[in-house]
Amino acid sequence: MIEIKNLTKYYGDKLALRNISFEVREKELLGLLGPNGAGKSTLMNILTGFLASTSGSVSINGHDILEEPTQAKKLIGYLPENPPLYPDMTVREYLKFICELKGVPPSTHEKQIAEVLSLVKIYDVSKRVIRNLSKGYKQRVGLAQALIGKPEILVLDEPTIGLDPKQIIEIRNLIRTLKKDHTIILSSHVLAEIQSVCDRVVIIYDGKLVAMDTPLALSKKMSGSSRLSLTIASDSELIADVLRSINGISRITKLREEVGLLQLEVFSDPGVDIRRDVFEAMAGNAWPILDMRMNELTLEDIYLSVTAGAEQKGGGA
Amino acid sequence: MIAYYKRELFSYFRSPIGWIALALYAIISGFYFSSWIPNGGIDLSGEATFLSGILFMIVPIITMRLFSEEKRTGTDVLMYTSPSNLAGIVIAKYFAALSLFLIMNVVFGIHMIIVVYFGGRVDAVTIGSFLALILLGSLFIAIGTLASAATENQMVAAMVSFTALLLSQFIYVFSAQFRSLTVSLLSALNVFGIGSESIANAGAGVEKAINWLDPYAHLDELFIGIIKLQPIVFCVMADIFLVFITYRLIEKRRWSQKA
Amino acid sequence: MSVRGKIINFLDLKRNRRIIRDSRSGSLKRYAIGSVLVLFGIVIAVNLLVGLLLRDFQLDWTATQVTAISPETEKVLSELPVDVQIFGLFEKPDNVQNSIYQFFIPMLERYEAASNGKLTVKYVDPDTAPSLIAGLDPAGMTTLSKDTFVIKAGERLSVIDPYDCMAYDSIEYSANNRLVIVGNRIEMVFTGEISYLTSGDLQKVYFMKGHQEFGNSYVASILKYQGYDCFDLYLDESGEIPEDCDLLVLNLPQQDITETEAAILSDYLKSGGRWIVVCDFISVNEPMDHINDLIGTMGVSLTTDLILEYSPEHLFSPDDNKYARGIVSSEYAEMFGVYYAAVGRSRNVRINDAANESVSVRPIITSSALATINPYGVIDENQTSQGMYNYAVRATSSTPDSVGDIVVLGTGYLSGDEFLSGIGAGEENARFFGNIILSMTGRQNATPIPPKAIPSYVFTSSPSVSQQTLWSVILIAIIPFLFISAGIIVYYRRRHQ
Repeated sequence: MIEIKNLTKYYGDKLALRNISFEVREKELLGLLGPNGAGKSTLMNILTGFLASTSGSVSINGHDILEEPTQAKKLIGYLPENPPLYPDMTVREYLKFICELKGVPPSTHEKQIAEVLSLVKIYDVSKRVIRNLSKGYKQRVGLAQALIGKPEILVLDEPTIGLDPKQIIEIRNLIRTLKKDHTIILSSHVLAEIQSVCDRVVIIYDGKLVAMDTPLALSKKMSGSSRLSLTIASDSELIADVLRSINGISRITKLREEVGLLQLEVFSDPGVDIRRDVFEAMAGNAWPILDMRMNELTLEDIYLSVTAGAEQKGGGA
Repeated sequence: MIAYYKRELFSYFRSPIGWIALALYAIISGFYFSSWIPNGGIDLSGEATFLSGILFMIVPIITMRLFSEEKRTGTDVLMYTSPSNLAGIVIAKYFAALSLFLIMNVVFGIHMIIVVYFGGRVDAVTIGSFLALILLGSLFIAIGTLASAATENQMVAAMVSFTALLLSQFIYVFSAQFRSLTVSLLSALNVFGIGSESIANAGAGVEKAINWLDPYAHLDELFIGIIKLQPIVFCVMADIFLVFITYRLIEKRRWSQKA
Repeated sequence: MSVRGKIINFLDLKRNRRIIRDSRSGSLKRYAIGSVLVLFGIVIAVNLLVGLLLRDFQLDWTATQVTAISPETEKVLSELPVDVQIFGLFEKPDNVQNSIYQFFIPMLERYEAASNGKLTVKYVDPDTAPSLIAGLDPAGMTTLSKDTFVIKAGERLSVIDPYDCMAYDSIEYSANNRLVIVGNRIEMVFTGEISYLTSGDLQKVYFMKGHQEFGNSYVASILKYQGYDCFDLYLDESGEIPEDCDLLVLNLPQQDITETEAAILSDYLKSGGRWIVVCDFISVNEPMDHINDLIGTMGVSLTTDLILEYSPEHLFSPDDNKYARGIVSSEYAEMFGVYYAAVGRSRNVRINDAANESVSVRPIITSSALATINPYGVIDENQTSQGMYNYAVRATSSTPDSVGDIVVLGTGYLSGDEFLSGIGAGEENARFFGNIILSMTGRQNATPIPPKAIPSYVFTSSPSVSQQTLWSVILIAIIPFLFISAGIIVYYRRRHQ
């Protein structure tokens, strides 16, 4: 069980994490979602003891990471964004080293290594030098390293980054298998990934925890809201007002304004398809629509809508 | 701890670095040795002295990678997130470098055997000089380890240790400079009416204090065959101190706010 | 947000950060720095402690105990009647290893330690302390220059040049003008001077001069150690042997003494004088009639025959029977504790048959029974003269009033500077000579301290040229090549693995 309380981290003057608090339950698969630079890696680094927070506490099964580091770290297997591999070692040599490092009893080294090699499906490259492996294999060796010692908790920072689709699916399946025996914290900036495996999702944006919920609940919040990208061959100032009058439009953003051209982003309320209304409104005013398309919500959108929603409900997420 | 020791030591030999260091040391010492054989005899303490004089070039090669590489490739995560004792890891790396140095010095042992084979003399002077060489090496490696922990760039680490080790041969020059500096400073501030002899004494004291840091001075008597306890204690304590600083530097991550 | 708002936000952040930071990281930082300083303190403390308390804790494994002092010196130092100060007139060098002082400084430390505070050693640069120099020698009787040692005991003063304390390879010096140190006589010199300065009456030894004698500084320093005052005597000029002469030495003259001298010596001997005569093969063609007349009265003659040793056990090298291991006669062997003495080319010292009843003549060092004697340059193929011959002989005569005492040596290898530094047994021989003197002057209790040999690093089974090349190739080429190829192999294997 992991408890994170009021975690704050300053990098010099820059605030990376603001007062983050949450819990991870046993055998739970928690997803950390957030754009690049949001602070996910920082959070994971602090969680595993690689960095020290400026304030706040992390406790792993009751052991504070700063006060009882040995006990806490024994429980964690960490795969950072860049897997900590020694390029000059072979896979087997490396894993043996990890066994020694983690204090695995020597009699079980071979057994552990064999288990991990087959689990992560890198048995056939076990004699190869890490430097010569492909990115996909390197990632898997990194995962293997985290699994050595059968730690209760796995912290995986972007485990599928840089992998091809087939490998991604394999890793996801693997993670699902591991879920049975481990508590896992997973981070990604791809929503779909988080959604497919995680029990709960924590959204980090700009160092703040902005949402914590099950994927189902989150997607409910996402679905419906859509974003329309509109290009009109007119620069009339009335366009925005007319759009605003349409029912179901929650927000309008001007993207680009030129002589005779206007590019906008129009956000609609959940469940409302405003395309017809927009078409009619534009046509009625003889403002030619050059381009109208529906865009996927980005994380930023999600954030904005979630925070907007939170603000509307009076704070807290 | 042992994990890191084994890893580091083997990695010296998995890459060309360890082999090159061995070959270089063997060639240089071999040249010195071979140039003396035609003279009909060789005092190996001379070779030990000679080798101690080139350590400032050899040691940075061994130590430059120790910590800077870890930082650069990101494998330092393992150091901090594993349940192993960080102090143990620092010590293990130091000893790995030291072990390589000892292995390099096997050639000196080979030279000793050759000398005995030809009926030459291997006596306390030789042993003392060899011991001094090893102690000096251990000290320099500690300095190199510290330099490696201070930066991410192995070239910078190498340069810094190279310079530091080279300058250590000239401590007596610095101490003399500091002495005159102290004297002129105190003379300029002669408001307190300090007698000129006290000023001179203060200057001499400064010089003496700085000279005390000179490892070559401490090891002097070892080089002539007198095995005294004091130089050994000096070097060992200095090693411990430097490794401790290295540990604190590495440990800095625990509380640093800039990382 | 307005500008004002932004500024407030920023300052707030800074303040918060400072507060937050101070709480934990600050204390950890202070702890880290503090621990480093504490350890620094401990390191300095330990070093000081060891430096002070365990200063004398050292192992001197050098074969000749280069810095150890002998029991004789310890005895002298523990019985010092007055305080002794030793001054090194130079700045104590930091890098002792490369200077000649590497032999002195550690040894003098031992002197200081063994003296229970009665002996102190200081190093002073005379340029910086002229008052000290003036204080040492108020009467200005000696010149105190830089880079020498001064021993002062009470009013007496002695100056020692460090270079005099070493024995040098005479061949190197004469051939290449290079000072190659082969022996270390420091202890002998220093203890000798200390004894000399602190003792009461000293016996006096006079070295005869004026006959192109070889050097005798070696012997003189041995004698000084034993508390003899040594002087030069130009007998021909002075016309008399001083009253206080306890021993007269004629060391390796290249020409005969004069008639006048012979007459003086005759009286001297008759009244119980002691005389050592050393003549070696170099002067063999010089007729030493006067000398022979004198020693003839004691039943000894210095012949012009040279001894060649043929017993293999008594030769150092089978091809060279000039350099032999002389056998010490049992009387002296028991007294001195040595059974052999290295002698080089030597004259035969003959004990005359028709000896005086009142004279007792016995050999000190003899050859084996397989030696021959031949005039210089003559090679005796058939060894017709095979027999036992004398390298050194002692003769004492007893008249009702006193005992005349002479020792005649046919070899310079016990007392000549050039000979002693040139052979490997120099210190033993010098000690032997010192023992002879002691047995003559009756001071049996003091034993001379042998000088210490600087070890020679010469190969005793030197490699041949081909062996040299072989080993050079192995060391410079083969071994490194093996390392590099191993490295290359490992590199390529793992590159594609």
